[in-house]
Amino acid sequence: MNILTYGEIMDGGASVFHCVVREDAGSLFVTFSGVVRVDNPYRYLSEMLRQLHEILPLRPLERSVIDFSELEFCNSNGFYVIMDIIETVYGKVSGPVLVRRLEEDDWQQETLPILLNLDEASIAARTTFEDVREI
Amino acid sequence: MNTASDESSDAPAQAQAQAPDATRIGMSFNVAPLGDISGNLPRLLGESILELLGMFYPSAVGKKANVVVTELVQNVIENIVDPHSELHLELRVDGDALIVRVTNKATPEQYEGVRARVDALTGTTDAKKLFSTTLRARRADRLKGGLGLMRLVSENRFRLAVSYEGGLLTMQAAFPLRGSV
Repeated sequence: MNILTYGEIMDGGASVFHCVVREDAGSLFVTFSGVVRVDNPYRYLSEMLRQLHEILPLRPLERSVIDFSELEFCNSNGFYVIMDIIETVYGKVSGPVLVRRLEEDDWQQETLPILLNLDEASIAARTTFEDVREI
Repeated sequence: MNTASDESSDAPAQAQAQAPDATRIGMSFNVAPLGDISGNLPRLLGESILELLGMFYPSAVGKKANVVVTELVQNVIENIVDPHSELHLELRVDGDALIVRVTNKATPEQYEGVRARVDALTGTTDAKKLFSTTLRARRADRLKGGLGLMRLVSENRFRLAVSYEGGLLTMQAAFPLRGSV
């Protein structure tokens, strides 16, 4: 498992959010964990986004897994940056995308599909969900 | 922060109307002047309320309270018109509903903007579609804000109401709990 890039949000002196991007045997893994509660997440994640745009086209990737199951909270100020990360993955890596999300979470069940832009037929056709129970 | 497991006013009448086994929680929070806020107040309030309600209610109720308090308080902090003014937060939850009210000083123009958003949300039959369309339009222009109220309706099924009196804007979000707890 090779880590390609990594983003972190600090809030009140503590590390509260991580986005880790890894590759393994042709698969891309994007894992979100923690909480997005700051008013401007781009302040922390723009460099990771820039690296994603650069790195992903260079890697031999055939499928993606985007894992939200450890993302505990996302305020509305975090929607655009989540969309930017998702859009970069869909745009730079071809093939199917498995989205792991919490089974009992309003944001992940109701808003996440909107951020993924599942109304777009080409995106919906590539996407499957795995609903996981919160531990 | 004042918390209580009961409300003194109209208590007998309310008690009869409520489910017998639902804990009644009421709390209010004030802070002034708003200009003194230096940390992440929405996070502090949202996470505290999540933990408090988790003591008495299923996690889904606490999560909804966390979202609504976070978004409404964030809206106030991002739109302060007078750094000497006050924010007032009220939360009540019982077997019938979760109700949150946030009051702050606002200009008539701010009120009209909020009222237009609330009217659009209460008038639509497809809040998700409205949210999706608005999200993409605002993102294209990189406009900040404007999504919090929509998420409360589209994602969390809150009923919103807004009022304006004496220069104070009150935003109310209510979620019915009858039969679900």
